[in-house]
Amino acid sequence: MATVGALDPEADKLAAVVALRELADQLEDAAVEQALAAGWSWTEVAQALGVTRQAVHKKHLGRVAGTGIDLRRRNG
Amino acid sequence: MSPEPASTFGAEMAELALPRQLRELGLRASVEARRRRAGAVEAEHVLLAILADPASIAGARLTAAGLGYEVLSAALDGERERSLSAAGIAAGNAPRFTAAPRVIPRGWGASVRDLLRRADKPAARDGRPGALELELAAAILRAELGTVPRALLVAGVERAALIEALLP
Repeated sequence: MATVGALDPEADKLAAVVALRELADQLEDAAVEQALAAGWSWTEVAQALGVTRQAVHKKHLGRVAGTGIDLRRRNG
Repeated sequence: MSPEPASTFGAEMAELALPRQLRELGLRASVEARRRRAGAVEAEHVLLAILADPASIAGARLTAAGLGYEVLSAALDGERERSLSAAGIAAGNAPRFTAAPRVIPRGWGASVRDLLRRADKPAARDGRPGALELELAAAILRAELGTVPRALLVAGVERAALIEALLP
């Protein structure tokens, strides 16, 4: 087996995948929060993300519940 | 690994049992993961938590050998910049998004799962303070691939010397 190095061009590309996933997660957190703050419903956010309402709810409710965004009328 | 029941600091965390001696470290590692806005607790967060603990023997040995908390933190930033640049995002140009942090990171990352599986069993049973933590830190530093070895290479920190300082 060829020796592989942590800074090989292949390793750089694979690490880029890791870094981009983290960046995408951070973008998702910010975008969901901003949409909810702007009055979007959970269903609308889910449709825009292409996932189920349950999935987006499960992933973000605990996080955004403490932000002061009024979530009472976001049951749709 | 010890046959202790799973840690209880979150259902996601419970899927992989932590030896009793490592539970507090696990909690602090999850705080480090959250601070770095990571989705999961990875080996680098465990290492940061060890370095941040003034009472840690492993942390003191590594700091004395040149790997303090700030050094590793900066090295990880450097690694992230290099990785993003491989995807065409120029250094310093990566967007920063503001959002409420996740309540807890979504459990142990693959690097920590791998570490705990490989954790030296005699060390896990060793009652001496810090024995398992020393072994864990050494295991993190022995990895040839992944974020930690990349970060240390980018920062020009010699892994072999750190392992030698850790387990003389």
